[in-house]
Amino acid sequence: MSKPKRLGVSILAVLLALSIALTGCGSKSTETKATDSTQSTAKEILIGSIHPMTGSMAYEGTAITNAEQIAVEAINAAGGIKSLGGAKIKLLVGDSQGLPDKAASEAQRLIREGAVALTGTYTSSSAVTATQEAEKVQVPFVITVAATTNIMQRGFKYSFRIQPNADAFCEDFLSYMKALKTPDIKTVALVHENSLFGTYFADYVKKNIDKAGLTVIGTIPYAANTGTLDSEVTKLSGLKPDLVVGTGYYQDQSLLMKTIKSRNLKFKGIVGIANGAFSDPKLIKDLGQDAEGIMDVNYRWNPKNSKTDQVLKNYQTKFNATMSSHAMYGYTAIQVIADALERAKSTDKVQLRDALASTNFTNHILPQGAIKFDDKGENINAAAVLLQIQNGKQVIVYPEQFAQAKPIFPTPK
Amino acid sequence: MTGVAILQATVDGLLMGGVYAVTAVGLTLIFGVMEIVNFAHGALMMLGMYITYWLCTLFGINPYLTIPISVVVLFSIGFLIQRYLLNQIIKAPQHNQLLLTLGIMLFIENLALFLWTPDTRSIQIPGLEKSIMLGELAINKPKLFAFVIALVVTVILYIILRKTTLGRAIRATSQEREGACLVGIKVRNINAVAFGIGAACAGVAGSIILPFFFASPTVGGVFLLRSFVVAILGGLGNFWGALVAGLIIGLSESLSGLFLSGSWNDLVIYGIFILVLFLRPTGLFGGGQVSGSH
Amino acid sequence: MGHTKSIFRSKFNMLYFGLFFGLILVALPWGLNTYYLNLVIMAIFGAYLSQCWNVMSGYAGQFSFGHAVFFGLGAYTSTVLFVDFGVSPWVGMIIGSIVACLVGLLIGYLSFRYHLKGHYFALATLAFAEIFRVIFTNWPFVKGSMGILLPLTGKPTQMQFENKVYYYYLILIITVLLTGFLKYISKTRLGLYFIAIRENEDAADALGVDILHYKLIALGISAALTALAGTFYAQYFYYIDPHLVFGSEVSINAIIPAIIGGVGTVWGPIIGSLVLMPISELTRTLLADYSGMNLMVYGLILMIVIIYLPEGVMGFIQNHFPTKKHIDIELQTGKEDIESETPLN
Repeated sequence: MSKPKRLGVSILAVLLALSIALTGCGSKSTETKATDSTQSTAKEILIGSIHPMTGSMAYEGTAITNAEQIAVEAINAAGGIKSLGGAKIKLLVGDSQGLPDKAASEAQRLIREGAVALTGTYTSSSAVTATQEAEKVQVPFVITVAATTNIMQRGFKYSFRIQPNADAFCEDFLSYMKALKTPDIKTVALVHENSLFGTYFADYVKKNIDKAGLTVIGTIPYAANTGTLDSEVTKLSGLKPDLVVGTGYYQDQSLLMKTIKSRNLKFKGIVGIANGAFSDPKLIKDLGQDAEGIMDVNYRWNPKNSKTDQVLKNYQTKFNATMSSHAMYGYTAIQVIADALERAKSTDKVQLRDALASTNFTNHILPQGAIKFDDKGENINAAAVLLQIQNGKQVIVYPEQFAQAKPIFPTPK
Repeated sequence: MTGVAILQATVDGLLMGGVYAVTAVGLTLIFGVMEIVNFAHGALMMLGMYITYWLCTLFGINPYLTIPISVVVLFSIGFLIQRYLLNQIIKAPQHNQLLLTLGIMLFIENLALFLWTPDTRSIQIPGLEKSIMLGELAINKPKLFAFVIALVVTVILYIILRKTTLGRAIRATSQEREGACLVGIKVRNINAVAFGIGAACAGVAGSIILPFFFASPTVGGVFLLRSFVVAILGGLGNFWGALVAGLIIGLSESLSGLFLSGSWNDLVIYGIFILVLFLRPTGLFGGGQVSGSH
Repeated sequence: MGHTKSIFRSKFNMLYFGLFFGLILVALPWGLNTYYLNLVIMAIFGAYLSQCWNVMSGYAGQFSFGHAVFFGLGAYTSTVLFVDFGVSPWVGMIIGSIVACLVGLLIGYLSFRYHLKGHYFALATLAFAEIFRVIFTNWPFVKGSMGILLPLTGKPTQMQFENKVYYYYLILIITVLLTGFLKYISKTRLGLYFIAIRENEDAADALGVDILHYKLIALGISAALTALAGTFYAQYFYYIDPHLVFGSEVSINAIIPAIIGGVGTVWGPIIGSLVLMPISELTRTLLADYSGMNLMVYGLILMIVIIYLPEGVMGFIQNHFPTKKHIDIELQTGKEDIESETPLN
């Protein structure tokens, strides 16, 4: 064998060994050693978080992880997991980069580092792969944010979701619209981003729009990563719908609003469903007065709950920003896992899973009754609320039991 | 489709086209002179956006007044990138240069992510939010300004390249590197200057786009591919070509967005791109170089 | 080659090395934790993908920036056939290869006939990949942007394995086969034609080599093989959507390992992938707290390699341990071309 070939092959062999060794060193040096996740060290329980910390969705991913961090600190400050001798929780932060294969890899890495449970992932495609990995080794996975329904329809026993799934969202939207619309509101135009997220919601609403007593007169999909929505808004102004219903991410939906407002187009209502922009306080900064009246069916904390203010204040103090609704699920996911740990009195996978399955948790700040999971792992009582921007703030306007203000609907002339 | 809608789409398309032209002008200059496909172009534009954002937010300066600062800063960055990074591999195979700019893009985007967080940033300028209404026709003000500035930039570039000594030196270097060297032109510096100018154009593009869009670390990607299409359509190295091509692309995007749905208008753009590559790779107006190797 | 003694010795060496190395490769997965096994699988997967790209772009010099198109076609063909028509992915994989090959030949024929080269060809391939991505995003038959979730059956006859180890063997085998194939080709006339086209297309043409014919062969082979990677991906992650399999990340991931390891060499993509895997894992895990820093480092490394190791690791080795070129028909990376100025433009 000629010299370069031999050298090349030796290098290969060395590299293969080195690759494995180095990666092992890398992950070891970040966290405490642990055997397979059946036992964390007695004083510390590791919970993994898999969200996009880099890439285009880093904003939301970081927010959720931040909220998880606050929950961890709050629980530890209150004495940790008392049934396990006051063991403290530690958050292992993973970065999915918004990619499903990286999410799967992070799931495996965090499990290897001793996470007894995982949370994640913000995007549905990452949730699909990450939960798969967790299911294979029977590590409980509590989904923070990921809406598509099919994630929980694979018969997995170790996946749980707290947020309302896409179907529940749409049903809430339809029933809220039915309850609140006035007789002069009849037509709807859907403007949605065209990936999995927006398309699913739009399709569901279109199919079930009769439940709200409305008709869809136009569907306008667009690519989320676009530099302009002029044509879409031109189409919208041609359709002249009573309601504009939007689903998408922050950048595109706020661009949509900017464009609509710059042309002084008026509709009887602008309502989002799980809209990445409409429930984000940043929208008010970006649009100013133009943001008034925009509504969104989205998740939100319960403003009538006394604990909510404390959580919001903690977040504000630590991160100098308002906690977003997405982030709230990060907070809640940690709470739910901690509660399950208390009841399981162990970090054993199966026991923890069973404890999660029998969750009946009320000490949360969600706008719903107790958190209980059905046999698919979905939160039975999960609900979205209707928000509206009034006087420069997003407030809940429906259902009444959580409402902070009355809905201004339709938009006054 | 009503007549108003089509008219609106036409206006929107032309205005947006001006924006695309501005983003492509820097690209076409760099490629014309050095045959480098600059993948970092979008990231440089992003830097221009952030410069304008911070100056506007922290010091209240009118965004359009920040353009000169954007130009200076981005020119320097571009100069340094060429002089100390790209220059090292000037004789390497083309694909290496392409990939180096890719690496630079990765670095810059994530540096921005690290420094400024992934938050999307936008500015509000009172008076610029509402469009000028001509009856039912809405003319978006920031886009109108962008359009005008695009024209100005193109004219300035033309003057620099045709009427100044520097411009002649740049053109000489792009046509015949060795010959230029022989007559005493410092090729290394010229290349760096040309890249700097290209980067400055990207900076201007960023500054004028921010008023109607957002800044975020990854915002460059939104415009990058369009910029390439425009640059090639116009003929790599041809500024007026870039301007006209920008308008064409803007119009195509806008009108197909009106008549088609979803991202089909992307298909139209790429389809145009492919057709140009096949049928007239020198661009609609010629002046572009055809050979793939230096 | 030389006298008998060294032939005997080199053959013996080769056997010894081969066996030793082979043994490691076969036994490896059983000793690995699932996280590491996944990393190794992804590293080999990356090597395979890059090697496929290497056939056409490194070898025959037709630089492609849109290999995702073949990857996606492979993934979607086998998946749709599996999910909607119950066809086993083993069969679907072959069909996917054929589809990708045909599309590749079409793209190639159009491009080469219109004399697209260098940058222009690269950009054209990029455009094609994007076109397919947009088409698949809006095409209800393949569920558009919703993507396709593969049912978890765990049946090996449907290319699903409960134990990841078998995925390892699968990807390892096709990578070894591909590398062996490449090594074989490099010693045949076909390989020589590829190199000739890469080094100086016009000269090769003048000497009577059918440029179009051989470029298309390279493209077709590359496309067909890349499609297999697409099927593997679908069968490993159980979920595909247009952005994942037709997106530019796939195309970029096909290129970078070859650049690092040495474009146009047989071992380049493999070395490149093995180097990159721990780097990207390390940067992500160690720097997780500093948003963006991991990819910054990644970009920095890429820049450094391109500037200081322009021919990749293999090129570096070959420069420092040169062989008797006129006897050894191993691929060179055209080092002479870079240093001397070609009079023609």
